[in-house]
Amino acid sequence: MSEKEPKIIGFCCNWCCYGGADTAGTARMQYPPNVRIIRVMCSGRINPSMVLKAFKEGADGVFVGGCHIGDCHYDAGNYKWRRRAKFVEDLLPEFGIDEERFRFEWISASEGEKFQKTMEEFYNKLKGLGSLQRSFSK
Amino acid sequence: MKLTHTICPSCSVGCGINLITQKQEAVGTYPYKRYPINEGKSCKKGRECYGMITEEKRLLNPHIKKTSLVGSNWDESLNLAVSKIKSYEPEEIGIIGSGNCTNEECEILKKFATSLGAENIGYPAGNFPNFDFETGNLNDVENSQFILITGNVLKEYPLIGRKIILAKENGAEIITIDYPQKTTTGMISDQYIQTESIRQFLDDEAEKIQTKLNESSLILVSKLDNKEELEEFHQMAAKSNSKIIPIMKECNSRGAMNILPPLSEDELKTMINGMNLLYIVGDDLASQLGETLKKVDFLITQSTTLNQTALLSDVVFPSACWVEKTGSFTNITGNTQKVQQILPPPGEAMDDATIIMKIAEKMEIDL
Amino acid sequence: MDSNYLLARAKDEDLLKKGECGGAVSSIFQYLLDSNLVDGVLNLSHGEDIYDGVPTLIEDSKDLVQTCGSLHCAPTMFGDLIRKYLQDMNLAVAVKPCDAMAIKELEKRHQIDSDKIYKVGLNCGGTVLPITALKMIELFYEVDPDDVVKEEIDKGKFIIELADGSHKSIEIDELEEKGYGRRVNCQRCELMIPRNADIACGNWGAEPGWTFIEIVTEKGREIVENAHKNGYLEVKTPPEKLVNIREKIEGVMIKMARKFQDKYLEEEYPSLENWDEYWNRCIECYACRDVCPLCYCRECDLEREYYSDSGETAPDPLTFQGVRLSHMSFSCVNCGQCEDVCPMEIPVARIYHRMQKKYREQTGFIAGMSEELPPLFSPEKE
Ligand SMILES: Cc1cc2nc3c(=O)[nH]c(=O)nc-3n(C[C@H](O)[C@H](O)[C@H](O)COP(=O)(O)OP(=O)(O)OC[C@H]3O[C@@H](n4cnc5c(N)ncnc54)[C@H](O)[C@@H]3O)c2cc1C
Ligand code: SF4
Ligand code: SF4
Ligand code: SF4
Ligand code: SF4
Ligand code: FES
Repeated sequence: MSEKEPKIIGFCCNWCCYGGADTAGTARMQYPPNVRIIRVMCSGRINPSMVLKAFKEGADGVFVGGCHIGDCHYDAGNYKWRRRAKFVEDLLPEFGIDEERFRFEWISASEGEKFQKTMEEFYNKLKGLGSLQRSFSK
Repeated sequence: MKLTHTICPSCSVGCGINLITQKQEAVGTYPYKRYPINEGKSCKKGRECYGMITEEKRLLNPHIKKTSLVGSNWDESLNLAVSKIKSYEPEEIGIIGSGNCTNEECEILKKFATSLGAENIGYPAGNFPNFDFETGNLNDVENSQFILITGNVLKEYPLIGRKIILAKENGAEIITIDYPQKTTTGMISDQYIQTESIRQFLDDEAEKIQTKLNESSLILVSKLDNKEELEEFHQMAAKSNSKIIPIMKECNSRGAMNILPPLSEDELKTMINGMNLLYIVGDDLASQLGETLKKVDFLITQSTTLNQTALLSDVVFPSACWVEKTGSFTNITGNTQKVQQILPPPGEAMDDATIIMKIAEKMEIDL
Repeated sequence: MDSNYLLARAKDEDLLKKGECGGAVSSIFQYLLDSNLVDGVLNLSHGEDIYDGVPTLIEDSKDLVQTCGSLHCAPTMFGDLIRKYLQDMNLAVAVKPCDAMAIKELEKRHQIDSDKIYKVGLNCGGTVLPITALKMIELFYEVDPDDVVKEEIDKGKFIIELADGSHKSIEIDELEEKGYGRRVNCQRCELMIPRNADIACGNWGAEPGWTFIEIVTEKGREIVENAHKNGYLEVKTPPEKLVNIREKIEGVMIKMARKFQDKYLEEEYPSLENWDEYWNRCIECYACRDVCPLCYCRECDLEREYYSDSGETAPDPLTFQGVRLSHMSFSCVNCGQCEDVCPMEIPVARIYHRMQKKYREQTGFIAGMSEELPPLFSPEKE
């Protein structure tokens, strides 16, 4: 992977999106290899701090995938996540991070293709934005 | 619940804080916004200073060493200490105060030493010597146009750090000297000079900086490797009519300096090595000189907590924290501030001055 | 007492004399203490002078004379003190709107028991930091601050009274343009009448020597009625004209506050470069968190190793303030305490207030006012 390739962290719900990634994989659908997937038990597990931490550690984009609304295994986890996600979108620009570097999507285990497409889109978007240059100098 | 004004004992800046007490116990602190030095702002050490009072290891009664340190009472422990002091020649006795002691305590300790004829007395002052030149005040920091700093003042003395920030916001140029690759103070400076030692800076770069200094400049010295270096910084200031503030560590370092001889680590070592009995008031010397202390025949300590020094001692007297006694501290800019008693000392503990007097009384010394 | 508006004053002569307006607030406290409805009253006493407001717990109504009067140079916060130290008590407390907002958020989070507390609200047009006040009085009034016996904010002016009874006043606007005057968060504060307390008391709409009271809750109505019935309080109905005047002033003040919000949170909001400069000087002292009434966690995430950086330089703002923002900024009540206590002069409250405003726009949740918790906490499927 070249230096300029965007680094993407993908938090994927075990019951859906993680399966979607798997489906994409077994069906040999090509999606960008720059996505590092972290499996979580539900999108409701994700809190904004995890997204912030990912950016701090050098991610150029952060993706969160959960079950379709209505399908969460824990009933309302993805509703909660959706409220948090809106908040994350408001928060990131305050630290100079374009909210387009953050994306969330509902992807079921059978939707390998949707997973592949989403990743490609996100990858292209990030490629267009270039690598994340944070101004905080440290 | 009651809030009472006091001075923060955690460093030499002398910030004001409100101590919160409940049923005669310290439970927290609250911003003291009316206090001119810090205007209600304080660092973590300041906000958490009440922990010194409630500290688990607070000493509640005297201790003496049998095979290990065991609880004792005032009579027994005082008698033991006094008989030991009497059994040594004054030249064999070392007396060490602390920058944490109040001015009044330092005075009494000095008197005690004089009456005893003990000439080996001092307090641990790091690398700072005694000085008597005039120093700048906190407003001078804020109003300076150029500030030269040694050490990480923002982090270690945040409420002077604040004045540096205010100066910077007024357009001042800041240059900082220190050892690490990066420091917070370095980060806010216009120039950060990473150096191997203060000596190296003085030899290689000081001359260049000298040209920048004038009457609206200030030198803040919080780090030194050697006592002699302060005079060189003072010379830099004197030559250019700049102001200078040496920043020592403890809440009464500057006050203690005027009363007791300041000793560097090496000087302390040398002194202690020649002593058979050591009487330590208010300092946890063992934290830096543990091995040296072990060689002393007999160790008498006054301490608020069962710290490393207390653990090494033959007699330990429990002493009072700053809000458990009345006295004064002199801060880095020479401001002497009163501290009032807010709480009684815990258990059988007494304030340092009273303990010194008790020893003196038993020795039939008139203080 | 059918109306929600009334004028009231103390029956007790000392309280009437010493009270800011009619001493009604102190009389209500007196009634509550004397009838053992509360164990204590939390308010302010004068420390060394009128610029030094010290939170004080009064347990004997005889001591209330010491706490009479308004201190406009005492930007204190009671939420934290109640949560930490006074939870077990039945308590009455004098609250500025920001105190009341903080208490409300804490009640919703079960950190303060609303059944145990009477919130006697004080209208508030803003507070001045004590040292700012001292400097400002010397600089613009050319008066030794020690000679000032009383200060007041009225009709857009900061007014001082001297020992000889004379007054000097300067437009607040003028002072604020020069960086003095009220705290900037107060300039942005749009809650002047604390309708989140049990009653709201003030001088707006009051006749001289009287306190204007707006009753907000049933509990509020009870204490005013009973203080009156039991001979502590004299009350009368305010003329409609005064009620209208009060409403008008409130409207004007709110408009001004919104203008200041635009100014400080949009037009003159620090640029990203400015923020980087600010964050670079953060010494990770946690003063902002410790003073924040909304940050009450026993184990704070910020101190977890997982987020920490090496100690010598400033923490990465993303995982420092960013994390704190993500925990509570939607509930920020803009009390300004974080900014007041930051040793590094970082305008912390600005970013918090801005985030709460964004959140409010999206969800309608108003920190310190809404009855519900912010929707972020909601288990609802929506
Ligand atoms: C900072 C401030 C600004 C105000 N601005 C306005 C205004 O713009 N318009 C308006 O109509 N009214 C305002 N008031 C309210 C008004 O000044 C009176 O407090 C109110 O009318 C009650 O009068 P009283 O005589 O009944 O109160 P008192 O019987 O004198 O009792 C006042 C109580 O308030 C407490 N107190 C004083 N200062 C503070 C403080 N800073 N924080 C918390 N408690 C405090 C006192 O300890 C006392 O218990 C303000 C009050 C304050 C404190
Ligand atoms: S924040 Fe609002 S309520 Fe609080 S002191 Fe300022 S103006 Fe008054
Ligand atoms: S973030 Fe600051 S302004 Fe907001 S509630 Fe906390 S202390 Fe008050
Ligand atoms: S920053 Fe978060 S974890 Fe820490 S005290 Fe505030 S709300 Fe709690
Ligand atoms: S109070 Fe200021 S310096 Fe301290 S942690 Fe908060 S922002 Fe940083
Ligand atoms: S289980 Fe998949 S989002 Fe909750």
